[in-house]
Amino acid sequence: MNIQNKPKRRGDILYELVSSIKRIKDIPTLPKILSKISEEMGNDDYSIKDIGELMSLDISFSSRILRMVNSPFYGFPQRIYSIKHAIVLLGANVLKSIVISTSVFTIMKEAMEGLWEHSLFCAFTAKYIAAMLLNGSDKKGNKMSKENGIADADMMFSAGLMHDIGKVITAIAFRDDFKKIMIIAEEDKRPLTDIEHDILNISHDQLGYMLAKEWNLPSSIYLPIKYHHNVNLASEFKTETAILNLSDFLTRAMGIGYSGNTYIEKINTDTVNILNIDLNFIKNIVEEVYPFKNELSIFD
Amino acid sequence: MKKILIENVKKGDVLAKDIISGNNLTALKKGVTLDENIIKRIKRLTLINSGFEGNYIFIEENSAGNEKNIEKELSLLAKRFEDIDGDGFMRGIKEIIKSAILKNYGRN
Ligand SMILES: [Fe+2]
Ligand SMILES: [Fe+2]
Repeated sequence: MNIQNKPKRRGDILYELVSSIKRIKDIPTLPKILSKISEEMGNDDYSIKDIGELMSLDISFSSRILRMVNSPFYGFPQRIYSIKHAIVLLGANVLKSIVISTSVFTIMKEAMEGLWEHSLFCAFTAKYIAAMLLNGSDKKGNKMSKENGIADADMMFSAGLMHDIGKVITAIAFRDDFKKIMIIAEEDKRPLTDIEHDILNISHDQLGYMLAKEWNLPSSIYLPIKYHHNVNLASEFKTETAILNLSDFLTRAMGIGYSGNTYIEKINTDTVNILNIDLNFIKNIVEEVYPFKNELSIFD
Repeated sequence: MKKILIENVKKGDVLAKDIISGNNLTALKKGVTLDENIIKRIKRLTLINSGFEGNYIFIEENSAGNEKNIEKELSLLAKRFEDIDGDGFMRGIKEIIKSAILKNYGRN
């Protein structure tokens, strides 16, 4: 795609992007089995047992899931030995998002260094925040307000893992545009989504939403992805969207991984209001999650 | 991180894994910079666990360059917050992250 030529209409670009998303399914590292599982889960009466069996069929598939759920980032209290066990404890959607992310990010590692670390840490942080709000206290036992709604910690992990997956699509389908976007973002100190709109007419949050929907993930995952840079536009899953926005912000502020912006912006006001954030709230999170930075190398 | 024999640890090395004592309590936290006393303590303790396998412990790859790393991380932090340093709340967040970075190197 070349923007120097006559400008493309939004519809054309969307069409191109959606078909490139569909093509992603055929990328070798994304197991074929995934589309089978997606189909299966699209049926209203899918059974956990069948999906567990499908997932167990592929060894790399199941080892990837087990490695993730047994990692310090997932922080599951007991060791999970089998896919069937994992699926009962965590649900098929969570496992599916882990497989999609680990597969896609394998391709991504050369294209955008640091995005995997950014995504994994964002997932971890989002899960921690959700759990903290759910328990009404942080790990040290400090009371937290429960008024700010409740988000499912495992779903938040999935949303965090996948929130920037739209960048992967751009990097694969529009390599030159992606490079251009990265360079401009660095020089102009403008939000990445603005530049993506200038060049592609669509941004990674919207792409990620389309992708997550295409893979039949639930709305509690794809809606927060859609609004993770526009919390004010979310009408459903506001708490989830705010948690995702905060996790993304904090991961960048802590300098963990790289997602295309060196400079951080002011914390999102809607996020602050929805989660009732003060500095103590931030301190509780940062103190708990930052030390896990040392563990990132286990996925190399 | 690298695995080294306990008799080869030296001052300034940084623990890369927690050391858990026999009663399953954390005896030493990862990130701690080893000094003479701590080294004595490690040698004295009878330990079992992940951070302590046989006569080995895990230390960070380049603890000698620690001072440089801290400096580098703090200047990157300053750069990230460059544009919003006028905002009180954001300065507060920056300070919180600064403490977390220092703590990760065993400083307080
Ligand atoms: Fe994003
Ligand atoms: Fe992000």
